[in-house]
Amino acid sequence: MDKEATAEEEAHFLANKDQCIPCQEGYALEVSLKKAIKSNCTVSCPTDLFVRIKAKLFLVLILISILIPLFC
Amino acid sequence: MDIPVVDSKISPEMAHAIFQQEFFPHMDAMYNFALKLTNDEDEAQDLVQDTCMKAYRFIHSFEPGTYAKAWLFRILKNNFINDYRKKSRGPSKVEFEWVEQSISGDEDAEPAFQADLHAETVNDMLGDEITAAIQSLPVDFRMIIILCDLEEFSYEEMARILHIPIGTVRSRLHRARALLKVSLAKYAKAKGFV
Repeated sequence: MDKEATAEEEAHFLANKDQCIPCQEGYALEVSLKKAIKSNCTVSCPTDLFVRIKAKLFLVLILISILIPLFC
Repeated sequence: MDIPVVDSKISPEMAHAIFQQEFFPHMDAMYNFALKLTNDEDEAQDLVQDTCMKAYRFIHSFEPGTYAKAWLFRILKNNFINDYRKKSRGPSKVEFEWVEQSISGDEDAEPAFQADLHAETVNDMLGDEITAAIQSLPVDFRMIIILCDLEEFSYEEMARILHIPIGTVRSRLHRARALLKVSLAKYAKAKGFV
């Protein structure tokens, strides 16, 4: 599910999953939870925060550009 | 304003280019992670801003072309642990015996119960309910769920970001998912979904 199993482990799991009902149910639940988290729990960075960070960094970079020649 | 410490080999133009190309594309993910950690919009904004300033300060240790998102998340997590965790509004009121076991270092202890929850029930739930269940988890469990299920980091990357062994990543993730299922099962029962 997390793409951490080797190809061999994955094949073994898929080959045996259908013979075990609790495994099937458990797997289906984990997959649906993962999908639900992925599709429902995302928020975007507020535009004003992005603008503020860019402005602050720009100011720092300008300051550094001015200061470096003075000390080199 | 603190004047950042940067390596003389990194010119302001290079730093600017690194931010534009490597760091800024991850702003949404960083803010999302910060918000899930702090549970507070203002604190999340401060945390992301501080993380960007620290990323600039330590930009000499970033190797362009490597995984910038993991590098930024590591800074953000450390920043949160060091400066924000104490003052954050944490729910963390989760009274499960094996949460305590994990805090006391017994990472391999098995949960003593199984959540009565089914895939169909989860599919019927709304985003707010899933989000609320995640927010109800203790922060260490919340962190690993976000990193794995939302941001899709590998176990190895999570181990590096959280500075824990890969075995702990596995056990903590297992626990976090079990806790999440319990939380959702309680909610589903209360709402009459099951």
